[in-house]
Amino acid sequence: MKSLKSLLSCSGLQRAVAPLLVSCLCGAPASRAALGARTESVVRDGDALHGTALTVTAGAGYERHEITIAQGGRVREYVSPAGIVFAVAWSGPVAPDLKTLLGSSYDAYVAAARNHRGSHHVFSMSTDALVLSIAQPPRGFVGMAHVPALLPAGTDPRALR
Amino acid sequence: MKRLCLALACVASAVLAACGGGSAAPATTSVVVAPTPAANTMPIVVDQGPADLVQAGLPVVNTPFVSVTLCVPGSATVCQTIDHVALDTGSSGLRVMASAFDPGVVLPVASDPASNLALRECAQFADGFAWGSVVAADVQLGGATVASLPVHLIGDADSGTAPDSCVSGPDESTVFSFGANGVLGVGNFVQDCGDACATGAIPGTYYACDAGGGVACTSVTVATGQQVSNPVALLAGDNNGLVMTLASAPVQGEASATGTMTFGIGTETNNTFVAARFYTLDDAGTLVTIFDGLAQSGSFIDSGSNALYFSDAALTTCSDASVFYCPSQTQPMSAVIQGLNGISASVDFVVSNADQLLSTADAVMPGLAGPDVTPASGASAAFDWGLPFFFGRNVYVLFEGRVASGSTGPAVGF
Repeated sequence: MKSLKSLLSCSGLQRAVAPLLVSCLCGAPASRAALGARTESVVRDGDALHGTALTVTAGAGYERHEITIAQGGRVREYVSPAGIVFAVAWSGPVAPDLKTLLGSSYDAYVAAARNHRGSHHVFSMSTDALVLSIAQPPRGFVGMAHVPALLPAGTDPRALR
Repeated sequence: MKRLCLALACVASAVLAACGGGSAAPATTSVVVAPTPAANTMPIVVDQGPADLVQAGLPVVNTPFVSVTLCVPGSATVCQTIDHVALDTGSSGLRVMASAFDPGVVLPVASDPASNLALRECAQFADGFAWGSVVAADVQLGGATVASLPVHLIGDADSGTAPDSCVSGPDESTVFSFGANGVLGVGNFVQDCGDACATGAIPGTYYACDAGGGVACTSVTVATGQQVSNPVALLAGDNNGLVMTLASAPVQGEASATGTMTFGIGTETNNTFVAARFYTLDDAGTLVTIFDGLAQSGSFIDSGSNALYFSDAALTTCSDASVFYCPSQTQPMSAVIQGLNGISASVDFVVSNADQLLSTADAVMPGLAGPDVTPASGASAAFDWGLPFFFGRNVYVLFEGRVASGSTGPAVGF
């Protein structure tokens, strides 16, 4: 499997993203956080998640970075104009590494899930710090999370695509 | 609880005395012999769950349970019957808590053929994970048996701690954290992982471990025949699917409910496919639900979910348990379920006040529903049709690649 970095070094990426790639590959901060972290973390996430491709798409008021992960899974990180990952979404036959993907919000998920009683196939939480929902159909996972305080003005998290 | 107790008392006393009682008691004494359960059936009960949980004041709701007997392969006597194993049409494979076994019942741990090391498994859920060895057991389901079934033994001492790549959310490897003594996954797929784990070593699934767990474990591929599997699909007959039947339940809830799982679809006189249609599923086991005019393509029908989970901004969530809805009055609602084959049906359901439901000792709550925050529509949008969907229905689960009534699975019928 080719590493994400080697793929990123090729010319397929959009020109607008190139500057932040340079900063990433030349010694970014040690944090591997994605949700709530700066754009640069998307690329580190791609490596940590064994991603094989990254595409960047401009959305309405945000940028969407999509990483293809193992077994046809997909991770999307939504970046605000301020350069912060304010939401993440994932889907595919196996779960991504949530420690990497949720970053500093992971502990809030663990704490809420520990108090959760009932279905193992669906979990939702909605707090000021983290809004998260995971559904587990018979094969695979679908999940979505965002930090309310980081949402760009006018962005409906449930309308993210 | 009264209803269940009466039913059990009837079964227990049937050979000794007439099973009457109440106003319907016959005037004459006649011996009513309880029919022997068909070999292709298993009784289901929806109650408060394992005794340890009930005694600790942690009863569960809307969870269907069965009892499963596991024997050391080849032995008819070294066996353990485990009660309160959750019956789950939303997953595949039998998983049981190691703590539910007597010390004398030791199931052999499977090994990774390539390394000869112990084979262990990580089961990741939406709300955590469970870790333990893969073992072999002869499994009795009602009157049928599957020999040397690969089973996930959760929380066994041999397995040690879970490797880092397994840990996702809280550890649910105990009866208390899991809410059951195990889970019997009888979903549409034969194996829990399938071809993906046979062709790729996927972190968070199967591992070969050299002494204990943790860093001694490496992700490995596992052939489908060695994966933790749905035992109903491996029966010698009546193996194309199953019918799950639960009694209808009053809107306000009730203490407990009973039902039956019948193996096979259209293979015996007791599993005919009547007054129902099949709705076919995609590779993830999902179909479409159209709710509020929006198509949610990641929807699924799942006896392992204890409520209906869907998003409706018009419903208020409960103040003290925001995982459920709390309308002031029970709301009648409906949505359309549509299979990949284009077959669709309008399904009526109700949403009741969860605070009121959960303030009772009832284990059966047809009106229990809660929110999710998946996208409003599209492939990632999910309407989870949990156990409330099953009350008062025959729900048919047609396994992948198997055929019934002219349809090929995976499909759900109702």
